[in-house]
Amino acid sequence: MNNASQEQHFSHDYWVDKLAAIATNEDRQAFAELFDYFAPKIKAYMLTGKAGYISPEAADELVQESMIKVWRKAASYHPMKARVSTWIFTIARNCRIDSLRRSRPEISLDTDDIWVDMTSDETPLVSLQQQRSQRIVQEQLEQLPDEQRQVLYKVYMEGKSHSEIADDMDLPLGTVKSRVRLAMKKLALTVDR
Amino acid sequence: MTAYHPDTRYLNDYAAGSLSPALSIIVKAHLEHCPECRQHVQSLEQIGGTLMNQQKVAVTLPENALDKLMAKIDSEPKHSATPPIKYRPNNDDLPVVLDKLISRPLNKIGWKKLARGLNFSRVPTGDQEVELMMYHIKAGRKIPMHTHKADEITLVLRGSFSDADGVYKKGDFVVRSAGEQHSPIATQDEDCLCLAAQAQPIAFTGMLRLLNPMLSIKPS
Repeated sequence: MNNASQEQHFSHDYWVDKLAAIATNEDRQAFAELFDYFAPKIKAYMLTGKAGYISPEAADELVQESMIKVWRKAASYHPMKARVSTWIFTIARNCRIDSLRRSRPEISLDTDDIWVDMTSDETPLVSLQQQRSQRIVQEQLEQLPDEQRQVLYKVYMEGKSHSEIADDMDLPLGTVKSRVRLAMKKLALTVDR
Repeated sequence: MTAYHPDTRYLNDYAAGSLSPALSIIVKAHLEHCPECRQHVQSLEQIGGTLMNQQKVAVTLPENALDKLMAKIDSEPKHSATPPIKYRPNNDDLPVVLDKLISRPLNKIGWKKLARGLNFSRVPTGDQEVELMMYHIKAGRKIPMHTHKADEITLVLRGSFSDADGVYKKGDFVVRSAGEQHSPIATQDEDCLCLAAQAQPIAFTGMLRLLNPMLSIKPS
């Protein structure tokens, strides 16, 4: 299984190649590697989510659903548009949202996935800006002070609102908000509207 | 170009996966119209992806999880890695997320009359808290003054409408807070089709309040 030191050895390109092997040759060995690495992370994400009360069995089920989508959609992955971890995160997140939808009709094939990826239509300029922005996020996220990182973790992994985070961490709401704001600023993700 | 966008709160919560299904769907429908928000959300998703990737994982999967998955993949031809049968839109000007949900042409879904020139149809999302509706307003028709008991989000799908605060066109994402009163009017030259998400029914304040029971929430 994976441990922290092992994770360092996997570069982004490593997983891009694995996905390509799945897409072109239905490469099961590549998929097994991807599964061993990402499935536990997906499970942990499912268990920490706002639906934190889901059982480990339900989380396992969501892991299965997510990884089936990874298998099926491997051909639609574009390395220029998103990192593999981000792509898998969005698949897992969409599965989690779908799990909250009661009695959704089981329509077969391509139509059962309502969360269609629109990024393949972007203009080259948008794609370039996108890549730049992703690089900044990647680099800066590693540099964030723990207190800001921790707040982002609660927002993105635990799906908590700012006031829930304030309760959790026993901090004033204003402090939580300003930590999020500072973090977003460092990641160059503030929008002025 | 879209003029009204979801604020950062909606985009953040969408990216993090903490919006309810119906709200996720209406935000996603806006994203399909709006490259600007789409780009922002992609960066936010990268925070999620990176954090997910870097988290210290203490959970384990069942021993046979991968075997089970491969067996599932083998048993269902639709799970093959080859491209599945292509989805064909029923309404090709609607956001894909919505078109897939309703999965039939607009004139084949059940519409109910709410007032003269105003029809609505529930969109089946499976969300148990937030209701998603489509509203069809005849060109030039005014919607009676009403107030919202909870925040209501409206996304313009076709045509445009206006109220005291502005004019809203295709792709615009308009948020009305609980308690705000307004009386939107569809533009003269074209019918207006909107998608709206609300946690509780809107309440008509004038004569039309008699209709209120019809609007009682019944998430589909």
